[in-house]
Amino acid sequence: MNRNNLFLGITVIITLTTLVAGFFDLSIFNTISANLVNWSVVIGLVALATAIISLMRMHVKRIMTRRREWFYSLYFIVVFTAVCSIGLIYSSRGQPFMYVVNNILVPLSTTIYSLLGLWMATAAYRAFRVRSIDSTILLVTGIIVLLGSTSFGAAISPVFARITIFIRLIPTTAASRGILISGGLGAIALGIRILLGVERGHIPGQSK
Amino acid sequence: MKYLINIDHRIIYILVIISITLPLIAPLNLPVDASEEVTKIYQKIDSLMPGDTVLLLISYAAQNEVEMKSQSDSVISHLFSKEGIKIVSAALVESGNIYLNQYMSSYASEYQKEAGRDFVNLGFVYGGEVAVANLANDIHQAAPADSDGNLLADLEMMKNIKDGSDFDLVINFGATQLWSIVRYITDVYNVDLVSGIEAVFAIRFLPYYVSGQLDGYLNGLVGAAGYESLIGIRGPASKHMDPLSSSSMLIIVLIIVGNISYLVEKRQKFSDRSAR
Repeated sequence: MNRNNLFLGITVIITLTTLVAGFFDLSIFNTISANLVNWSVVIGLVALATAIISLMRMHVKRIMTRRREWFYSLYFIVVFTAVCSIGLIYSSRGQPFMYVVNNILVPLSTTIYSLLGLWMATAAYRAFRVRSIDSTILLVTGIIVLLGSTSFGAAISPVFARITIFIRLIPTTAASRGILISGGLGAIALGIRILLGVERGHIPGQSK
Repeated sequence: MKYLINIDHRIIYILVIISITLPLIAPLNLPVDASEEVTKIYQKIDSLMPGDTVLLLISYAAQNEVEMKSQSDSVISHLFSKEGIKIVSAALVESGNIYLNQYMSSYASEYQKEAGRDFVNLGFVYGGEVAVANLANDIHQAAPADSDGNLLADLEMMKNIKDGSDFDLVINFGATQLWSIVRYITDVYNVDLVSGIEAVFAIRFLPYYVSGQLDGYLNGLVGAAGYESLIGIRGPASKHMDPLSSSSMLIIVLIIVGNISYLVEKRQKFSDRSAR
């Protein structure tokens, strides 16, 4: 048995065990499946540790070789070490760690996220144009939903809220269901392809 | 008209910033109403009886704090105000644990709830979808101890709470693990589920709401403001509705101006061509 078939065999056995446990109430399969699922948590944690080591090695190398913008790497290492140390020394519930979270992490994260609002405003100004019937429908729908979702819309007329509810619950839900079902069918197809050995992207050296 | 069509994006940025800042300086106090999906959450929590058990899950990141913290604050405060409810809480993402600890400690002292008797905080349960599946199958195995290191087996409250079937309601905040919660807990054990969802993800969960798998949801800041109106407070979400509404109105005005200039320009080009 060559290496590729060994990987494929492991994949098929694990997938079938988990599948059987999901559909039938057989205690042995349930126990094996639960253990396999727990392995993924352990593997995930090991992968996290590996990722940190790999990231550190990459940034240290960038600093040592003085690559372009190496100071960002230095900045990363300093911040990473500082935050990790604060968390390890004072615990993630301690006052110093919460200070870092509340005064650095949260303001920075929300600021970056808020920039989306500015981009969306310019994008709406430039993209929402009555170029065709389709774009006109999109434009009118967008305006009604915007009005229906805010207090201004409700203050002008309750009709906006009613139309917004209709748009959300009927056409939007229908489209979302279509996407969800397509995704589900795609996942089943991918699962069958992996089980049959057609899809071998997860096997080392077979990704292309 | 060409100037309006190709308006500098920085001018739009400034207009948006003004539209957000002005209502914060001079509040408009626009009315806030609760929609049907928000009212359903309120009714679910309000109808909880002494002895009912609730699983409270937090799975949102720091960048969504403004909308999600407003939602969590009003819903958890309402939940803690109910007498005799048993709450088991857990965070499903790293940053969720920060918020969970804040909520549990502040509301426990405000409503005189005791850890281990009225609520159990499991802290961050690592593993994403796997963590949800494990919590559904066996809580004692998924998280053997609470966030203070007390063994669940030693806690009186946890004696009769073993798996997903022991809950009467699941309350979740954040879209990250909502699919997993439906798949592993609420659909399997037929438990009611309500959730606060970030506005950008709310649309994805409409099919679950329409099908009844999700009994109610809060859509971003609008949902949080609606919930605040139901519990009779004008909290941060209600106050933030003014800038949200004014900036939305600005976007509508910008779209209309952009289209007028586009149509005038198009007409001008057409008449120029006809004149030639």
